[in-house]
Amino acid sequence: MSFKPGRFDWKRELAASSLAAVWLALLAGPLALFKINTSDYSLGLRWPLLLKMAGGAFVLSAVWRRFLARRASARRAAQRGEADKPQGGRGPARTWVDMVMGARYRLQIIGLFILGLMSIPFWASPYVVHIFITALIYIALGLGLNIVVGVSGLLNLGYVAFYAIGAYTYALLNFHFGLGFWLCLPLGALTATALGLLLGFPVLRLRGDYLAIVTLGFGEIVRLVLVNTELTQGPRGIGNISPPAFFGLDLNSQVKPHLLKVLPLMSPDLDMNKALIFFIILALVILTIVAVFRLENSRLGRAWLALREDEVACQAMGINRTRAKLTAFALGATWAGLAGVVFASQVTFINPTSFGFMQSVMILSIVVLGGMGSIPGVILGALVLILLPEYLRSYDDYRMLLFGALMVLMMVLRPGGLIQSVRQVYIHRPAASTPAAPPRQEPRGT
Amino acid sequence: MELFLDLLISGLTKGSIYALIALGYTMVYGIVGLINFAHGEIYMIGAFIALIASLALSQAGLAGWGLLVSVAAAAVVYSAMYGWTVEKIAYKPLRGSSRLSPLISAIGMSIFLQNYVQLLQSPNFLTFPSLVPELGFLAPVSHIVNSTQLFIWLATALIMTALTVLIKFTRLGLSMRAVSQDPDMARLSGVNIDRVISSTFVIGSALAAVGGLLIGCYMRQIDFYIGFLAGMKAFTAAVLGGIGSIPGAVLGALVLGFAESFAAGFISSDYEDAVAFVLLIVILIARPGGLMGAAQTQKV
Amino acid sequence: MLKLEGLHTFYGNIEALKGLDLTVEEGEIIALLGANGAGKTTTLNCISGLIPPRRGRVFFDGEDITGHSPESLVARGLIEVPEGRRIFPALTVMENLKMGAYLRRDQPEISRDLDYVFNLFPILRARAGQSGGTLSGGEQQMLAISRALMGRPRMLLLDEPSLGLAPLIIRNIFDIIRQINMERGTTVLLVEQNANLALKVADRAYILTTGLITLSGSAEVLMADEGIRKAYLGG
Repeated sequence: MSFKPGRFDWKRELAASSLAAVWLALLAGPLALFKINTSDYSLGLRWPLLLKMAGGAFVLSAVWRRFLARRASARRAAQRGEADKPQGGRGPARTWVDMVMGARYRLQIIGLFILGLMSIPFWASPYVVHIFITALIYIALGLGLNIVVGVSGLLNLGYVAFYAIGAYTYALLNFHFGLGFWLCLPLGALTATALGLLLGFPVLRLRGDYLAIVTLGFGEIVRLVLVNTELTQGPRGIGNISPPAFFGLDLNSQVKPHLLKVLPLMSPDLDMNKALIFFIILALVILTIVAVFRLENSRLGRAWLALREDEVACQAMGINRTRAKLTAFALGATWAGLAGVVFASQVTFINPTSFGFMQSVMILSIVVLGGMGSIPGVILGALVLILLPEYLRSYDDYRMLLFGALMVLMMVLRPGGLIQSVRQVYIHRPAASTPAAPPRQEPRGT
Repeated sequence: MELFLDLLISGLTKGSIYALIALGYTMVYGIVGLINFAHGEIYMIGAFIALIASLALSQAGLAGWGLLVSVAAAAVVYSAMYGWTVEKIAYKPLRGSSRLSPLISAIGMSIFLQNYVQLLQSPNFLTFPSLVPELGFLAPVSHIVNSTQLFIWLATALIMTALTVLIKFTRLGLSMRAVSQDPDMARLSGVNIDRVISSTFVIGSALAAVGGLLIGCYMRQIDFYIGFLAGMKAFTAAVLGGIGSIPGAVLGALVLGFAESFAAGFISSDYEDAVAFVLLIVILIARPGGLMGAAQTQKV
Repeated sequence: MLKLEGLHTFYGNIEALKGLDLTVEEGEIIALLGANGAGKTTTLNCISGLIPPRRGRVFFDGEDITGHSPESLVARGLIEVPEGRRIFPALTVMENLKMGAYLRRDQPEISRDLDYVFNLFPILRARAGQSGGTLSGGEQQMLAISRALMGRPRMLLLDEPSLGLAPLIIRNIFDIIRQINMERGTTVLLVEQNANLALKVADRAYILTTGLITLSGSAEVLMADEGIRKAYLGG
């Protein structure tokens, strides 16, 4: 039943939501009503549960329909009133991003913002610092995957493999040879890049969806190798990974006491190594943002965009597709490798379970949810997807259930992502004497 | 020799079940261009419904073939309902948007359904009864082939045939083929696209349900996670055979079943899960369109 | 039979139709002419429901069908043969024709229409079992028109039937368009870049220039007009 515009029709809404509740009751019936007793395999009946679920469905359906009706009437009003104005928009989140970017003192604003971020370890709890490190790592990962998927349109479902390679490179070199963080950072990145090139060569001529499943397979293969090989310590994982060195100082014993005397808000439980890692990953993320921004606006970046839109046209224009694809793939791998090294130093113990398909899904969701190809979008997406499960922690059991539902909901509500990426559009105003209007920012079509 | 025969038989059995799942993937992909990540969960739900139905109906006094058929009917009907609902909620609203949004939505749906079943029933493995009655004439060779295996092969073969008849000779099948080739032109011919798409999901889900029932009878245990792994492998099989091609899905599934079986038997069972993907990479390098994929020419 | 009132359509922010008015009486053959990009295909898309207009209305048989789905219009007897043939490449010729009769249930009449169509285009009978993608351009156009005819349309919308075809075949097709109109009374709205041929076969014509009708009248008058000759008929 679709909704008609106009007055709120009680009977219709009641009927529609009741239908939804009944349908849910039917659907969930066997699974909700009957509970298999694992001891004797008898069936217990759970009428209260089923009724509660049906009731919930009724309420949700009513709320959802109301929401959709409001959205539809808002759209219609907009269409009627502004039929000649351009449509669409970057989304509600865009206003302040664009405001910042357009502001006169934007560099100063951004600088202040970064300073604010840098101050976090000095007043926040260790838990918050930990979360922020994780969020920043995922921002780096998201930006890396964004180059591959968001900008170039190469669907990589096994991105976590490069992340794992970076982490394991550091872990193994540290475990077997005692090599330090700073040496392993480039090494981890290099190994990941090498693997990216290795995978890229045979695989990049495949069509989009075939590429997706092959990369998924690659991710799984890497994980299985990590689990089953003695060299990588298998499922036992590798522990005791050293944190980054800071001029040979032991931060916790030599530096922290001094800081604690000066900074009243700082938490005494904070592991200073984590603080160092925080700064490292923050610096890395800032560098990444700058690098990605420059890349996107370079010749290479435009070649990637062209790849995403129409490969055949690319070839006709003389763009070397293979080189463009390989570069995107390999660069994406590099970032994942870097992030992996930082991750290993943060958690000090890694094993293959941290690098499963779900991680690839998370990172991909960050890119798609945030808005493919859009840097602020990816950042926002990472924040949402990392911080959200933390908020949901209180629902523990239902955490993943809600997460899955939210993923679907977010896609249905905004398929283009939270902050859609922007493309320059030139609008010609046919007024006789005035010159052509300056370029306007228009949302990229999905 | 006996080992070889064993591996052959288990390969054929697994391959048959993969085929039932893979068909759903390939049909949906052929029609809407979507990788239905939640399809594996439909298979899993089919298995769970089958289990619950078998427990409930056997208490009510059903047994033997009657029980099997009723349980199958329940699983099929329910999975079809789930498949239909998932399409309406998670995919239909996203029709026409980028390729990736439906993918993320599908993955979200998959996560949701896994946890949904886990919470409602149990996170642990549950024992599944053997529902296929013993076939007397198999007694002399029962150490090589048992009734369940034979039933799986026959059921799969029968379903394949029925599906082929549907696709080739019925009006619905014609409309499905038309929509997969040119949806707008199909609309201009009077086809109701929504109905055709829903039908595709329903049919695919029904097939997956049978697969779920059969895997339960074969492995004698199920848990909420079986959909994920089987789904990925079945999808790999569909891609292997050329995504969008129905005979391709069956071929890919059988090839995968045999490859897994022989790899587990002769190499190592640890890497059994990796076989699917290694096989995929190898075959796609040689034939980028899959085994039965059309030549990869793109008309400009 | 068909009336378009004040159609405004947009592709994103670009206005493709800027207030289009057009009428087609029952039994007529109307030509819609114009240069590339004038909005001819857009007009047909508006009528057939593939891209509903943002403003304006479409009337068929006096009923408002604006924005109705293509499927429902086929049931009313309004059938489009889109640009570029668009036959189903992996379906056989026979199956393509069956798709044309998709909504019909009257089997004996369908068989009769099949014969009619095979008599119009004998080559199709010879190729009945071949898949559509293997046909030549001209044969595909014949198939596309036949497929539409299988729906027993009361009105046909033809989008550039001459595109990409050899002159001999084009003439054959245009003769058949006239034949269909005379034998079955099928109303035709013909969109064409080939103004010459279109005007020869049409009763009336409209000229579309960047989204607006700039000229209309009977075909003979337009063909004789100096300006039209220079602009569209090569002088």
